[in-house]
Amino acid sequence: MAVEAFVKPVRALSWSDTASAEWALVQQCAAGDEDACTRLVTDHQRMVYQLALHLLGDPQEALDLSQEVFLRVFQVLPQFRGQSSLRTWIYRIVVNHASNRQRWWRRRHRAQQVPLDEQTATHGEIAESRNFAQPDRVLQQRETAGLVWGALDRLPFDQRAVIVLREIDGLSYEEIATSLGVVVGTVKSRLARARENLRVALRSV
Amino acid sequence: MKSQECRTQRLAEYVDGELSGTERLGVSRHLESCADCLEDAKALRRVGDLLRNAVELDPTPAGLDGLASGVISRTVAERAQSWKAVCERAVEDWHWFLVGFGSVTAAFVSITFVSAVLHFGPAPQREDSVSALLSNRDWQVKNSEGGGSLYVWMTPGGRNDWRIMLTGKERAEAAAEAIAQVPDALAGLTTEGDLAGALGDALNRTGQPIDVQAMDAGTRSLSEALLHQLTEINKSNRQKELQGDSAAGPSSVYRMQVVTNTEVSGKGYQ
Repeated sequence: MAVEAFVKPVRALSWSDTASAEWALVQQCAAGDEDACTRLVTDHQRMVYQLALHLLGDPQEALDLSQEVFLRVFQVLPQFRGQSSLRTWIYRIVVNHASNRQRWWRRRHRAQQVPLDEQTATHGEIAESRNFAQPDRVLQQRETAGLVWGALDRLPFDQRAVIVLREIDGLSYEEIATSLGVVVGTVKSRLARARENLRVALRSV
Repeated sequence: MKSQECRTQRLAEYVDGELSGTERLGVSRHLESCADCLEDAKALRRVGDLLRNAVELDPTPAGLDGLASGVISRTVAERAQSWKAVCERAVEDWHWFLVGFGSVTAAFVSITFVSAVLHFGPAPQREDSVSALLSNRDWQVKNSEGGGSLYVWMTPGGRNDWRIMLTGKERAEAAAEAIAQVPDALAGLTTEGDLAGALGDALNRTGQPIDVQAMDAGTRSLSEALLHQLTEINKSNRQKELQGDSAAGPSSVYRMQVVTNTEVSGKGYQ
């Protein structure tokens, strides 16, 4: 029987090189070097935005959150001691802010099922062909994406955070635990529940 | 693998690449022979694939281009509002005020210090008439109305005894004016002893100090004039002494003192 082994893709990097370069960047930013700060933002902005988008489900909210996150990063950067990677540390700030924002947002707006069209418009903005007869594959992709994001949006925030960090951002259990401020066992249990919920929700896909 | 939950967890760790080499090998071998576990592993991987495929459709927002500059601008602005920055700016804006305030404070402290030294420190000697001595800050005359007496101790002829020669609150007449009024009385009084003796006679007739307010104008003028003459002689003797004139003798007036109703302060005059 053929076995499809899953190989986790990793980049070949020298940890010491990465750590020292990262640490130098942090030091420069903490000292007020605007170029270094700009570099830090541009290096991580896409990652931050994507995570914010996947956690909040709204591009504008994700943009606002991204700015909020980087402002917070520069406020507390002097406290970064290198216990984790800079990326993981920033992830933690993103998750915390997204959690706060979402709690506020949920209180103001009722949790409702997002229509498929809106989900598709938010997450699957594929240039529409003027020809009404769109390729089936593209249409199916949009529909699937809409269902996936709808299912993701219905997950509790804690489960959504772990599944996004694991499956989309590719963080290890340890990194996820650091980002969320929980232990690895909690990561595993939340991941298991998230996957089960998504499996059920996307059964028809 | 034991329970379903353990099995699923183990598979999840396998799919996520969280197992060690030996553990991975074990699971991999198990999957070769277990269809159920293999199916579960595929299901786990499928959820991730669906998510990753959906993410690929996410467009890059245009707002992301200006994110860095916006964040940096706001951070710089917030740092400018920090307490440290506010204090630094306050010092920079108000440094002239601080310099002026410091100067005023320093001047005030200096003036206070000098005043204290002048007030509590040793007083300079004044070799002039009693009226000038009265104006010297060395004297402390606390009562201004109805009190205050001026005693002049003298030792005519070099003796150490003393006599109260004069009492009075203040010298109302200038010495020159006084001398002008009693020129006859001063005639013939040339030596210090003559002057001291005349002054004693004029002011201490009953052996008790005579209040200068009760004196008649003539006696008062005489007293003032004699006192002035004595002062001049004393001054002259001291000058000669300083110049090394061996013929100049010590002054007979060895102490002059002002006494008030409440306080006595003295000054050596020799």
